[in-house]
Amino acid sequence: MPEPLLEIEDLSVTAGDRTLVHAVDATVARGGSLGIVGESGSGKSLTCRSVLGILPPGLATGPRTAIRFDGIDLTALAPRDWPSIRGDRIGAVFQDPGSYLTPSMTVGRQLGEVLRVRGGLGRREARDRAVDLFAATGLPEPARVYGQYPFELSGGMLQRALIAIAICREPDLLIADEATTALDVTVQAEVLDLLADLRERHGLALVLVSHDLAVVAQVCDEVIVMRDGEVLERGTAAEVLRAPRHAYTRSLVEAHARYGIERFRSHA
Amino acid sequence: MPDRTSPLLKVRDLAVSLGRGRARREILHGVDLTVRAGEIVGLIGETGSGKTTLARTVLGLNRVDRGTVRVESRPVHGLRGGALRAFRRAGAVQYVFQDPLQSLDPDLPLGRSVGEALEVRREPGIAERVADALRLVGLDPDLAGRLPGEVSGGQRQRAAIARRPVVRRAPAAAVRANRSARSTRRTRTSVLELLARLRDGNRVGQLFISHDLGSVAGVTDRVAVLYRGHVVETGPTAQVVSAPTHPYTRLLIGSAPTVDGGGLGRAERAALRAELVGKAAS
Amino acid sequence: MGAVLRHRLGVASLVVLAAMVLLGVLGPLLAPQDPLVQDPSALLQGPSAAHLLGTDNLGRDVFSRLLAGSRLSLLAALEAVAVGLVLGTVPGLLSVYLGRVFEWVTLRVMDAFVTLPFLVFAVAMTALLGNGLTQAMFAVGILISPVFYRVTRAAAFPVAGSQYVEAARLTGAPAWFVLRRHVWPKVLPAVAVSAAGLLGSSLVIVSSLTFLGIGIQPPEPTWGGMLATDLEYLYQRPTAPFVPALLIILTVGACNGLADALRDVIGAPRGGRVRA
Repeated sequence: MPEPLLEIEDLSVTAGDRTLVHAVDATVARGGSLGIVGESGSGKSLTCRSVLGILPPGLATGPRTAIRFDGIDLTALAPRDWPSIRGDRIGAVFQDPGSYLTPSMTVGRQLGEVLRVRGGLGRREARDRAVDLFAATGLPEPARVYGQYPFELSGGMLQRALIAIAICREPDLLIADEATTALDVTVQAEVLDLLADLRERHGLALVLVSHDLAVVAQVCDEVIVMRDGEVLERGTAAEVLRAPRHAYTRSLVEAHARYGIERFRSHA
Repeated sequence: MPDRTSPLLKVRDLAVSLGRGRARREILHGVDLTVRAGEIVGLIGETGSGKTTLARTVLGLNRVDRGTVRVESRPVHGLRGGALRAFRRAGAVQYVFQDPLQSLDPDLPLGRSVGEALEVRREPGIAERVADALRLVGLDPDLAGRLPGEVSGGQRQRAAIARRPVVRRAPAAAVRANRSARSTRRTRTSVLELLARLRDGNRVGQLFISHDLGSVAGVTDRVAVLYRGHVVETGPTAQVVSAPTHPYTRLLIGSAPTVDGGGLGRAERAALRAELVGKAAS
Repeated sequence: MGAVLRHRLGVASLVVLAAMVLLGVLGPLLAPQDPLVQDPSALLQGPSAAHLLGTDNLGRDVFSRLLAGSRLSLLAALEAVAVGLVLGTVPGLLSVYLGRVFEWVTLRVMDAFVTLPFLVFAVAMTALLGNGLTQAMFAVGILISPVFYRVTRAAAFPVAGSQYVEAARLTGAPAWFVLRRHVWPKVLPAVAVSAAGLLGSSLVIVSSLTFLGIGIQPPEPTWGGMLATDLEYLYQRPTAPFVPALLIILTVGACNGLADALRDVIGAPRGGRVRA
């Protein structure tokens, strides 16, 4: 087992006396990948938010919860220490890319600002680096995109721009929470390619969250399946797809086989 | 008995433009589409394909530049005002919105929304028929008095579907997929199952509109692939999925996340993309 | 409405307004004396057993005049709000439905109304239609109609483009059905808040106009008119303006309080709102 980068132990999330997430354990190795599958309300997003320290108001992690990132206990982290972790060492992208960008600023300036403020780069350097990052995330004509406003970009391009912002500080871990859900299937495939690419080229560890088992299995080595705040099943992607142990996981695989295009391929 | 040779819905050479003045663009460039009785046709199109425009045009919400829309052989694309309302009241075409949250009035009890079509037509026995429709989609008739915000997402979805069978005669139906609020696969499949059950013998033809072939392939008899305002490929679902001819269809199928690892590799998809760009240029 | 009764400010405002309405309705009956009868032997007297609040410069009983004046003042304010409501809400609803030409024309007309100075316009209208409170308040109604127009449009616009309205149209429902069933219930709360607020403003306008002698024939008592007279004889009766001023402030305050309460109640999550 390679050195663990992120260790989640006995994670529980409570809202008053209600427990929304129970006893989740998960580990992501340096450069590794973990897929979390579940419907809305399964606790998969709350798990991500706990790691990022951005639980909604009124929600808190339980007393026995331990989240260790590269040896740092995130549950005990002081608010002033979060910026050196979130953004710098853990990047994140979410479902609706448009709502994470300022509409009145070009996407290039928004990325450039992060590079200047957090990275201490000069104006020119920040610009060049931003264009490089846009190119690295597969945006066509990156220099042109630099000067464009969010409304001028398609959903797929916005998500690429946000991925560029998320990885600009060269984090060790990227959390993608339903990051491809709102995208067209053909665009989703490209963004998933990009995430796999970033892992290979930069050794970025990845936590990919999706309602679709197939999406997760395409990119991740390890998969956990969640429902109602609990982990039902865990294993390698191949194991979970080929021999699901839990009835719920089986129903997810079967739904694909029955309604998806797999049905026609297996008969062909 | 429905005549199998005369389609319930026949769209011929349909061209539609949207926008005004200089912003006016042709969205559909001569689309052909047929839905016969007892058949479920999937209309697959991604962002910018024109699928929403096509659905809205079939429902009489857009004007046509060219071509025809016929429902049971009757041209409906030119209907206006009272004639259009009378055609809608007759219920020959029913529409199921994908996103139940937005298609149900948040301040209106579910039963009122479900029975709205009957109320508009001033039909008797609305309460009983609403209860029947709710039972048909697997809901407790007592939910009729609840507001959409007081029931679960799955129940809302079913209530939205119950708007349709409440009308007795329903030859053609359309579902619009809303990507921004994509439901989880499980609720989606249960919805698809439900709609498939509502085929109503073989009298009803259904048109499923989706951006995702993978999520509707299993319940459709035929599919039509819409790309940039053209139907680039159409045929029996099994045939289109197993032996797609158009590069866009191949890209679409090869991009779909699957559990059998049968998708296309990155290089193959890049090649298809290049072929599409070449096609557009020529 | 029940929720307003659980709102402290709402209850207080309703109590004050109910008292004012009661004064308006029963005022003339309760008045111990005829508010128009002059008594030359008792001019500008202070409070006494015969005249609870004293007499004015013509020897008329101030208490009786205040009671009589409350009806006129309130009716005038109500008239202005009613006129504004009809002139604003109806085109506001239609502007969302009748297409671009109607929308453009009504928007320009409403913009023009907003720019009119209300005193000058009210004076012009009374010159045109004759000097009477009804005419003056009609003018005020016209001037406040843009508020109703804007509020109605703002509330109706998102509803008109919603999927549930589209779903209703696809059942073949005529426009009036859609308006009554789906649009009006969403517009009504916003209009109610504006109406309560504007009732207060209209009362101030009525008082100002009558204070200036616009729209009022001299013997008729109104709060504003009495305030004007009282101020003329401030030296003789220094505390006199206090009562009509207090009535105006109380009523306007209650109207604004009710508007605030309504807004709080409507803004709070209701059963119809969606849970996440």
